[in-house]
Amino acid sequence: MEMYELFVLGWRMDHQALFLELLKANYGRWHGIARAYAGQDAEDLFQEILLQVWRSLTTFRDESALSTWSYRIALNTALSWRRSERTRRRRLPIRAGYSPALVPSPMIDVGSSQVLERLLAELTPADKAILLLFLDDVGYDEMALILGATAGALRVRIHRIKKRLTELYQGQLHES
Amino acid sequence: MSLEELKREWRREMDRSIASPELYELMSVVQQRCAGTERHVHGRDVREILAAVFVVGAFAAMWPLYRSSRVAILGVALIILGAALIIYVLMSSRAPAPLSFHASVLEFSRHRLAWLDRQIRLLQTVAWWYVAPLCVGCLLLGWGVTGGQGLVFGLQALFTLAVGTGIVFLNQWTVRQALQPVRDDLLRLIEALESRSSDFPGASAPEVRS
Repeated sequence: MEMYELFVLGWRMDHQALFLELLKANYGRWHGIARAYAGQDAEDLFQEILLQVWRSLTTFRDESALSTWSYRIALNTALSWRRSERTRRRRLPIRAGYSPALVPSPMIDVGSSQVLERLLAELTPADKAILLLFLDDVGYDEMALILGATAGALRVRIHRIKKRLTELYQGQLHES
Repeated sequence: MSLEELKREWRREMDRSIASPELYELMSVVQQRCAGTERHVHGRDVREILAAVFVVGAFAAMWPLYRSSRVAILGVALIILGAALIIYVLMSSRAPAPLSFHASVLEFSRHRLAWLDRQIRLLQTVAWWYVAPLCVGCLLLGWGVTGGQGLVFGLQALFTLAVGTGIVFLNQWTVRQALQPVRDDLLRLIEALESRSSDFPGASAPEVRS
């Protein structure tokens, strides 16, 4: 085997190992993001996120934390994703009957699940991203790095989302 | 109900794991899609170049038909130059570095907005770099071959103008229906991310435990 082929093989194996590691660590996270932005079409968006992560592996530099890097790719993909028949056609079946198992049931508590679904549905795409990062316990400094916004502005937005959540929850209590 | 409670629920969701065989299957799906996309992009470039070669070849083959008319030769030259211009414009519009998905959401959105604005400009000026050279070339060719008289030239001129107008209309429609809404969403997103805490009236950046 030529030196160049050995180099390519080594690079590809590193690439695959890193991808698998990322997928293992972020599986639930990426699925959650896909469901928050795409709803019923979450599987399409999930595959799109995987594709962008795979393509971006060459851009990964050690200086940026892996979680920040992967969050940026997932959110950028989700925010620029559009439902389209073309995307759906491009999606490859993983294997027969596999898809439903891939999307786990969202929440255990039905009440909080409904509130979260409603909250996500009515938030703007930017606020949705902020909420998802907050729910995943991402600190404000990292959030600012991922989104490119200031930590102060993010705090204010979270405060507003909290207020909206309280309103929604009270509304739901009145309904029931 | 508080965000902290939702956070606990969400954490349970995030902690879900995936079995090894499924991991490998997903990776294989991604590799297949990646290869498919590259084939698609490569195929598109090849198709465009083949189309240009076909235009040049077709008009070269028709040389005996128009060689006696300078106007027709001018028309053919314009069509060939127009085809080259179209290929150049299409390829240079794809030339800027691809969108970097690993950039911050704000940076990525600005980059995407700039890219979208270029696409919109391209479609809005389609009359000049796409339709005009080809249509004028076709009209000159028709004029040269028929001597600018008769029903044949009239019909050809009408047909050429109708196709040209249709192409311009379709491109404007695409801008309005497909690109402008995306641009509006992007602007809203950028505006939301660019806002500072002082942009929110009455809000004093309360401390929220992260």
